[in-house]
Amino acid sequence: MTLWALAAQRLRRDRVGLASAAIVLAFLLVAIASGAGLLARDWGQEVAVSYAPPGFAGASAEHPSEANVPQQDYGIADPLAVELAEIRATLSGAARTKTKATALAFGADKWGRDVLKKVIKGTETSLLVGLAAAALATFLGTLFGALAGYYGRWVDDLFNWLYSVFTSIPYLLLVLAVAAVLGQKGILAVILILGLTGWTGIFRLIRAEYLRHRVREYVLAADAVGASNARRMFAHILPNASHVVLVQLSLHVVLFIKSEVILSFLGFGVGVDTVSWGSMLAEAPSELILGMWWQIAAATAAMALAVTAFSLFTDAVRDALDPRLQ
Amino acid sequence: MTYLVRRLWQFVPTLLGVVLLVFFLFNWVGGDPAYLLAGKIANPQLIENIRRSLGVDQPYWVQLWIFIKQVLTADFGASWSTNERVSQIFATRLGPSLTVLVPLLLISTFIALAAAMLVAYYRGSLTDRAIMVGCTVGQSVSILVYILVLQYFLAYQLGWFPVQGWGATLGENLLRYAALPVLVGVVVSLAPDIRLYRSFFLDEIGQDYVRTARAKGLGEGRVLWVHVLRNAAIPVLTNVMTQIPGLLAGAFLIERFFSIPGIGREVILAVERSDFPVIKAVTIYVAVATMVINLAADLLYRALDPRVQLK
Amino acid sequence: MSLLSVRDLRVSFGAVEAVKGVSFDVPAHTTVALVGESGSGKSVTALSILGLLPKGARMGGEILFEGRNIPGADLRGAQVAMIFQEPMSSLNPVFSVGFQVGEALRRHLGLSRAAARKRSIELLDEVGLSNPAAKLDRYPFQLSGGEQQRVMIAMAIACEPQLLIADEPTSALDVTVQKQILELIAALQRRRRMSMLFITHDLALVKQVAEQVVVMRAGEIREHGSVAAVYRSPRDDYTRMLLDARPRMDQPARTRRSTETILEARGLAKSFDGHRAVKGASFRLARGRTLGLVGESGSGKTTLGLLVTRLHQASGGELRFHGEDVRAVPPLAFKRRVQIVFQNPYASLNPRFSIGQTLTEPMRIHDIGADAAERRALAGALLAKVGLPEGALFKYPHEFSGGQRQRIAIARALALEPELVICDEAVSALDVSIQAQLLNLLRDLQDEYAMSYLFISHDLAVVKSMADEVMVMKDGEIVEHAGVEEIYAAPKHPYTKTLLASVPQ
Repeated sequence: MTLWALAAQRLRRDRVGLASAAIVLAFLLVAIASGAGLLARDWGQEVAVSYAPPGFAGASAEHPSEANVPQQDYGIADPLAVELAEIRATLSGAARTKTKATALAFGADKWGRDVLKKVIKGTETSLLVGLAAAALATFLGTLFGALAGYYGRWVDDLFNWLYSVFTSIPYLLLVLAVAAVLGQKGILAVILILGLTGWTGIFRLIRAEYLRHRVREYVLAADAVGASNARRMFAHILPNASHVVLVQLSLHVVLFIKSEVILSFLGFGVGVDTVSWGSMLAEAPSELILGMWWQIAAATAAMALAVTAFSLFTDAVRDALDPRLQ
Repeated sequence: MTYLVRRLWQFVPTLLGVVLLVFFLFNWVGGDPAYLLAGKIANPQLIENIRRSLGVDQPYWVQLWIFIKQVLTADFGASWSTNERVSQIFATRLGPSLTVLVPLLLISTFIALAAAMLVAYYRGSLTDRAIMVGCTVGQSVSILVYILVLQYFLAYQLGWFPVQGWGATLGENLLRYAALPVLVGVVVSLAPDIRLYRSFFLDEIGQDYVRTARAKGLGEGRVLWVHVLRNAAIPVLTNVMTQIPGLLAGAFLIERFFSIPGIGREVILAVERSDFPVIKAVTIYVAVATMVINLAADLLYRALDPRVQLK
Repeated sequence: MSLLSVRDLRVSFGAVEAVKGVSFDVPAHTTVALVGESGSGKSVTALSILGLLPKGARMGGEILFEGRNIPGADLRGAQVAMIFQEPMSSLNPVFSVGFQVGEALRRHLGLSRAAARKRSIELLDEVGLSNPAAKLDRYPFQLSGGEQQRVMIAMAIACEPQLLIADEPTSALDVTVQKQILELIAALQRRRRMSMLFITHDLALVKQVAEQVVVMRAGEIREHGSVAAVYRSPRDDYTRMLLDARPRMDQPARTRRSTETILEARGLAKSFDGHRAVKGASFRLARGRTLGLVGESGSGKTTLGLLVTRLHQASGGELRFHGEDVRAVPPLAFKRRVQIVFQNPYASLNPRFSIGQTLTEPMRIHDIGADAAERRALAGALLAKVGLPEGALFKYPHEFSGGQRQRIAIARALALEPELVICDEAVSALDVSIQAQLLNLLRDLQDEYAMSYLFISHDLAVVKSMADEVMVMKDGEIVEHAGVEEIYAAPKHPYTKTLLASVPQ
C-alpha cells in the first residue's frame, strides 16, 4: 500500500477533515457551474429595487406589475419617472411588464442586482484566482527550490539572491507596486501578479526539503546504482517532498483568495464587468452608512465559510501526510 | 565583528537587486507615465515636455544611473501629484505610523504569547480545539471586514472612539485616535499569531529536555514557564521582528480607513495616483529597513540561543 | 523488603499493549539490569516508575517504594533519579550546566544560589568532569558526549537518591567513553550505596554491571534471576537465543586464502572545509576477502568507505581498481562493480518506491534484463536470495521491519553482481538476534558471489566474526592494520589496546 493510500485512509477517519473537504468540493462545484454558465449567468441584471432587503430578514417579495413605481433615490422622487416609463413602454412595443422585486433571498445591491447571484459569481472569480495563482506560485517555488537545494553552490546563491530581493519588499507592498505598474485590471493580471510574487515562501520550504534529502542515504544509494542528477531530483526526492508541496499549495490558495479581495477592494483587481467577493466588499462602506448590511454579510459569510473549510482541510491533509506518523 | 561586516556587505547585492527590480517594474514595464500625467486633454508637445522633465526620454542605462544616484543620496525628487519632496513625505509620515504600530506589536505579542502558552498547556482538550477552530474561522474573515464592522459599530454607532482622524499631540493620538486602529490591528493579528506560537510551544514541549526537567522533580509550572518558554521565546521574538517591515507597509488599510497620515496611507494614495517616485522610494526604504531588521533579528537570535555560532 | 517493587504493571497506548503484566523487585544496594531488544517494553517500564509516560498512556498495576504506594511524580529527583540515553537532547540547550545542576539542588534541598553553586562544583568534580568551575557556566553543546552524560549523572545524584534508573546511558557513546562512564556509575553506586535499575540491550554490558537481570520480550518478562545463574544456564528459549546470537570475542575468526588484489588505495585523503576527515589511507583488498575497518565516531571510517565508492571525491591520493586509476574509469562502469549497503535501514530505501521499483532501478540504468517482466523476475530471485517472499515486490518499505529492510538493501546491492561491497555499519542499527541472521546472510552471499567486503563497524566483536584483516582508524589515520587473529590477540598500537580493553566481555 503506498503512502498516499495510507494518508487517504487516515484522512477518511478524520471527521472534521472530511466535512471541510465536502464543503471545499461544494464550493468548487458552484464555481465550475457558475463558470459554465449554469448558475448566476445573469448576475448583472437589474432584478430588484435598489437596496432590496433580504427575504430571510422578514421582508416579503411583492411583485408589482407596474414598471412606473418611482425609484426612491435618497428620498427624491424622479420627476421624469412617469415619462420614461411611457417611452420605454412604447419602444418595446407590447406593454412588457417588467417586474422588479422588492425583496430577494439575500437582498439586492445599489443597482438592484441579486446579491446571492453575485456571491455565486464571486465564488467562481475568487476560486479561479486563488487556484490559478497558487498553482503558478507553487510551480515556480518548487522548481527554484529544487534547483537551489539540490545543486547548491552558485545555483543556490543565485536563487537565494533572488529570494532576498523579493522578500526585502513586504508582500502586499510588492503586489501593490506591480498592480500600480500594470495599470490594467482583469483576472489574468491578478493571477500573474499574485503568482509571480508569491513563490518565496514555497521556495524556502522546498529548498530546505531538498537540502535535507540530498544527503539522505536513499539518495546516496540511488547515486551508487548510477541514477542521474535529474532522476534523483525528480523521481526520488520530489515524491518525498510532495507533502510539503501539497500543503503549501493549499495554504497559498487561501492567501491568494484573501489577497485578491484586498486588491479588488482597492480597485486594482478584477475589472468592473467581473464580480468578486472583493468588489462586493468595495461597495460596503457606502452601504453600511445607509444601514444596508446584507451585501457585506453575504460576501463575508461566503468567504469565511470557504476559507475556513479550506484551512481545516489543509490541516487535515497535513496531519494525514505527516511523515512522522509513517 | 567580522560577521557584522560581512552581513553588511551582503546588503549590496540584495539592494542592487531591489533597485533593478524596482527599475524594471517602473521604468520598463510601467514605461511611459506621460499620458497618465498629462491628463485627459493633452497635445503631443505637452506630453513631450512631461517626458523630458521626467527624464523618460533618455536611454535606459541613463535612467538607471539616475535612479541609482537617487537611491544613494536618498533623494527621490518630488511627488508627481503633490510636488512635495519625497524625503519630506517620509519624515512627516513615519511618526503616525509608529504611533499605531508600536502599541499594536507590544499588545498583540503579549496577548498571543499568553494565549498560546495556555492552549499548549491544555493541548488536546476541548478548550484547545475550540480556540484553534475559533482562530481558523477568525482568520478566514478579511481584514477589511474587521475594519469596516468594528469601525461601524464601535465608532459610528456606539461612539466609543472617533471614527477617523488624527490629532496634534502624541498623547492625544495615543489615547484617542490610535485606540481603535490598534484594537482592530490586535484583533486581526491574534488568530495567526496564536496558531504560530502554539506550534512553537508544542515543538518544545515534545523535546527530551522537558522529560529530564520533569524527572528532576520540577513542578509543571516551572517546566513550562522557565524551561519551555525560554526556548520558545527564540522563534517567537525573531518572528515578531520579521513582521515589522511587513506591518510598516501593510498597515495601509488601517491607516486609510482611519485617515491616519502614515506611510501606508501614502502608499495607497501614490498607487491610486500612479505617483511613481513615491512608490519607488517607499519600496527602496522598506527594503533597506527589512534588511536591517533581518540582520538585527539574526543578532538577537545569536544573543538568545547559545548554540548559534555565527560564521 | 525491596527498595522498589513493581507488581503486575500494565501499560497501553491506545489499542497497543506495551507492557503486559510485569513484576520484579529491586533490592537495596543492588543493580538490576532490565534487558530486551527494541519493542520489549523495557523503557516504558522504566518511565512508568516515575510517572513520566507520555500523554495518552494508560497504566495499571502497582509500584511500591519501600513498601508504600507513592505516586512516581513525588519520588522524582529526590528518592529516585533517572538518566537517559541521549545526553545532548536531554539537557536544556539554552541554560548553562550550572543552572541545570543547581536547579535540582535548590528544588529539593532548598539551597541558596551561592550554596547551590558550590555544591554543583563538588558534584561535577565527583563525576569526573575536568575543570568543573569553568564548565559550570558552559552550555551543553560546548561539552562532549561523555561530559554531557557526566553532567546528567551529577544532576541525578545531586539529591542523594536511593535508586538510580539508567535508560541505556551509554548506548549513544563511543566504546572507550562508555567504559569510563560505566566505571563512574559503579563507583558512585558503591560510595553512595545506591540501587540501580540499568536498562540496556547489550548482554555483555549486563554481565559487567549488574547482579540481577530481568529479560523482557514484547512486554513480558521471560526470565529473571542472578546474572551468574542466568548466563550460565538460561531456562528460557529466548534468553538462550539472545546469549548465543552475540558474536563473541573469544571465538576463532574465519580466514580465506588470499588471491589477487582488486583494490588498492595510496594516500587517500579527504578534507571538508579545512577539516581533514581522512589523512592519507593506504591499503589493499584482495578478491573474496573481507577487510574490516574499525573506529569510533569521528574516526573517518564512513568517509573512507564513501571515498572507495566514489560517492565522495577524494581530495588527494590515489585509488586503483584492478590496477587502473578509478578516475579513468567511467562512473557507471565503476558503479557496476562497487556497491554499498548503508547503516540506517529506515533511510536507505526510498519510502515512495515499491520494493520492485527499488530493485529494478539499477537494472534499468545498467541495461540488465531485456524487458520489465524479466527484470521483475530477476528482482524476485534476488529477494529469494536474501530470504524474502516474492510478494514483497509490490510492497513499500514502511511495511517491513528494520532487519527486512536491510535485506532489501543487500538485495539491491547484489542486483548488479558487484565485485566489492562496502558494508557501512550495515548491522549496527539492528537488534542482536537480527544482527546474527544478517551476518550469516552476508557470509553466505560472499561465498556464493566471490565478493570482497570492506566491513566498517565500531563493534569489535562483529568485525572479528566477519573479517580476514582489520584496519583500526583514529582521527582520520589508519593506526594499525593486521590479520584478524593477530590484531585481537596481540595489538601493537596503544589506541588499539585501549579499544580492545574497553569492550565488555
